[in-house]
Amino acid sequence: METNQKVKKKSRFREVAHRFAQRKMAVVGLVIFACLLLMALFAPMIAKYGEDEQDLANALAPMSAEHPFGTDVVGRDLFSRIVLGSRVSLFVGVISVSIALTVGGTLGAIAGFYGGKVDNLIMRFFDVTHAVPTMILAMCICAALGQGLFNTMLAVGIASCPGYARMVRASVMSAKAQEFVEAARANGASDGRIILRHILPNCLAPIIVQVSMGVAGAILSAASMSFIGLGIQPPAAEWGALLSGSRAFIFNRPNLVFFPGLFIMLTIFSLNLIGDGLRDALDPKMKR
Amino acid sequence: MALLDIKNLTIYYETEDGVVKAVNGIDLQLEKGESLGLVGETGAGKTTTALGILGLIPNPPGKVKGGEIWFDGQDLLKTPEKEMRAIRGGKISMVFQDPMTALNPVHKVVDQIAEMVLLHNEGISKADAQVRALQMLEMVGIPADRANEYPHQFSGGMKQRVIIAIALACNPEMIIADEPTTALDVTIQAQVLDMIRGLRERLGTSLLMITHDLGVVAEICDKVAVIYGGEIMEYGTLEHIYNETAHPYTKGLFGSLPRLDLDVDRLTPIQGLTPDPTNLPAGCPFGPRCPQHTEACDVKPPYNEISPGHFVRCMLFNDQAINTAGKESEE
Amino acid sequence: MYKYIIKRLIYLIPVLLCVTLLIFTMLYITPGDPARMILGNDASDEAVEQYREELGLNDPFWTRYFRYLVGILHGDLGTSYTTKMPVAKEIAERFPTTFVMALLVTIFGTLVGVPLGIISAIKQNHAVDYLATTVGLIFVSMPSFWLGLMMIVLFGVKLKWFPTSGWYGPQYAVLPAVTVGLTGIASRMRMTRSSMLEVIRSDYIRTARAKGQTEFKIITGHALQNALLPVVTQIGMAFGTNMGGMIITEQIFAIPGLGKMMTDAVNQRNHPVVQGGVLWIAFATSIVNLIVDVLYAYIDPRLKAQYVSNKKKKAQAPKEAKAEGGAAA
Repeated sequence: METNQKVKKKSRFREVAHRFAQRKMAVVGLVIFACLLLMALFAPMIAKYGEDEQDLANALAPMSAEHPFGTDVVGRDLFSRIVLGSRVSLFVGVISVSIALTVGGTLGAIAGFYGGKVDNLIMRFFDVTHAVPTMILAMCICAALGQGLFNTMLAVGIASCPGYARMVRASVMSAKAQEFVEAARANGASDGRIILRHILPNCLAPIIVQVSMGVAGAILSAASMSFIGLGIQPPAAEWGALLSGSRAFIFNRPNLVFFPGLFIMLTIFSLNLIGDGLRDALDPKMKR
Repeated sequence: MALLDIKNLTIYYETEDGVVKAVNGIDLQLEKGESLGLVGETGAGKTTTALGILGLIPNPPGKVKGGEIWFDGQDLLKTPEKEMRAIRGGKISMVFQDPMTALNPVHKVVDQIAEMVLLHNEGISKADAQVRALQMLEMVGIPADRANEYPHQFSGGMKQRVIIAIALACNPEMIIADEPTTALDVTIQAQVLDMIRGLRERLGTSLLMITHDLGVVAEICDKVAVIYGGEIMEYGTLEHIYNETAHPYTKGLFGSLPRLDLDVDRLTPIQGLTPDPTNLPAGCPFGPRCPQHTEACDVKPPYNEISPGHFVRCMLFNDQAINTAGKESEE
Repeated sequence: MYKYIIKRLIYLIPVLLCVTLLIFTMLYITPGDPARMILGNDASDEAVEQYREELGLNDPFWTRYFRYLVGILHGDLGTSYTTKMPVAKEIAERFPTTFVMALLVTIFGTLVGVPLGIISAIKQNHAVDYLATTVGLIFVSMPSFWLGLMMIVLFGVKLKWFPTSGWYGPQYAVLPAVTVGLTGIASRMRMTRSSMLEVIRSDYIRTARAKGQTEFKIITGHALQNALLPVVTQIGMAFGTNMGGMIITEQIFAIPGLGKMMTDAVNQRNHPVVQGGVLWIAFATSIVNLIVDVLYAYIDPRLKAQYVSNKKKKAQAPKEAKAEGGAAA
């Protein structure tokens, strides 16, 4: 009997990790993302030049050993700027999602848990925002708040709130319908306890998946904002801003546009792979 | 010769978490016109056996590892897919466990029955198939004027009736019913069981009834096979199983039932849990939970016939075997 | 069904009203003075103040908001601060370009993405599936503005297949459409694939197999319609995303559409134009969503039964339909 039970005692975390590790593409995503993360952490050591170190004599230099990605119009090393910019982009992604998850998630949880009029009010509000495409909503919020790093994060965060609210609401509602919640209520547990101890853990899987993909989406939105001149502005080394700042040289020096975009794509690609892998690993339907 | 004769059937699911040994060398016979109850707990391998007969084991991860399934003188495991399609629904049809999800939500009920008719009656016109479908609906007690409705407009019991109508639409020789009443209310259960029994008697269809409910078996079946850990533990007539219960597991199953005819204060449930199918015991699968467990049980017990037509897989009956020839354990 | 459409149209009114309020408030709190922006830094403070008065910028919030609402009812969306043209007229000139492009891209993305998703799901874990999902994910991960710029470099400059900027004929639409379309195809494909995979594992597909149905008919006759239901609900959202995508892409290809007008207006604090643009986009998105939902109700019998009035049915099984409908929802 002991041997029977030992097998089942694998913890949930290890089980999911094991399942995740079996998905090649997910592991590829994790490796790419880990590299990007390390790059951001040790950015000042990797970058040979400073963020604003100009060398006008060497402006618009082509790719070379000295400047692997070339230099921009005032002679700044693109590689160094991309490396340093990774900090900004990843930071923007994480903070925007935190804002969206905190505001949207909380509202969604309240709507899903209490239902009725509260639910109606909150969800009707999000219906309104639903009518305006996220990109345009972010644009308006960005315009209202003004440029800058923090405002961009806030704008992207608020604009993506409805998605998180809907997702959390749906999973709270399905968790609420489960019998263990009724059992907890029958045992006299308070609302707060029921939400924290019983409902939240059961909503975790979709939230984790949405967050990993949401960071990707937020980085993309923030870069788009920078690109149309609303978000983080040059000379800041944010990837979208780097790309947008060198747009004029697209015909002579396409590398200046290619590399920042490539890094945006790699980041988003890896996060999406991780998200896909997590969804499969966490999905109980995949179990047999 | 038996209509259905399963020999040493073995089916594994090869998953990421290990190999699930769902069915481990089972032998089963079902005579023409007879009804056999396949009884066991959840995860004992009942549904896998049924899907195995129809060749519907999802692959991957499922794989038929060995054995033979003889039906009407034909080994279904060696039958090409095209012929199998003609057998599925035409000669063997299946009633599934959960009527709520077994019907296609976007097709009208009558079309779902007519589809079966069209598939197995070559050259039949669509109109004739519809007529046949309406007849089938009436037969299972659903008024024909509800034929053009969709599954979501039906209650659970009515959906199960529709599924039974589909199963019977082409006069199959055998029906496999996989816990057909488990998902239904008790009163509806009785109605559906009654209907299955009545139709079977009228049409003479053979029945393989999969259930965990010994009460259902007593009501409908002629013979019983008790399955545990993917192996048949005991096989015999109703008389053998209910009155001459041999295997400790079968006894345990009866001990878990409340009896009105005996004056006992407490039920005597089986101790422990069903075995993990990725990690079955080396000997008798029931060994770890068996109250009469001995060291002898650490090797696989043979499948012995202890009286004519009464088979038991247990060490306790090793010396009572009347005929072991041809019924050796697969080892 | 008409009842449903009318109900939805009526519901559109408060939604759009809230959109105007939302955008109006947002722009109200936006820093920067439009009058100052228009007159430039050289203008005297008195001139700016006088201009503010002229534009009605000094009135209280609600007065301005209601003036704006009344204007909308008369088809007047205000006057552009920069061009002095009526906003309604500017939008009318530019909106069709963006709208038609976004619509075409959405339809195209669906027509290509859905079949790819189905093939990928049927061939799950085969080379075709791996290739399709990986390539699809790469396209989903690409910033559309970057993809657009790369297209310009490759097809415009290196290969010289298509013109890269302007709006003088259908050939000018190719690169921007492909830019937005590739992302759309990829995300439609991903959705269809996961939806299809879920359906293929469902019980009623097993029932169809047990009937002896052929694999081909199981996919086309049983799985497809069910798998398309969630995909259809997403089309409205895809249209919204494509509208957003077009707005960015128009910048790159210098297309005189709504996007260019909107981004310029945002940068110039040209509030009437921003408000009018957002309102139109919200209206268009809502209408597309409505059409999609009506379409959905036609292919999902569970919804159809709720809205198509069929007295005979209702008289017979009102209870059951209700109970089952509730459980299904």
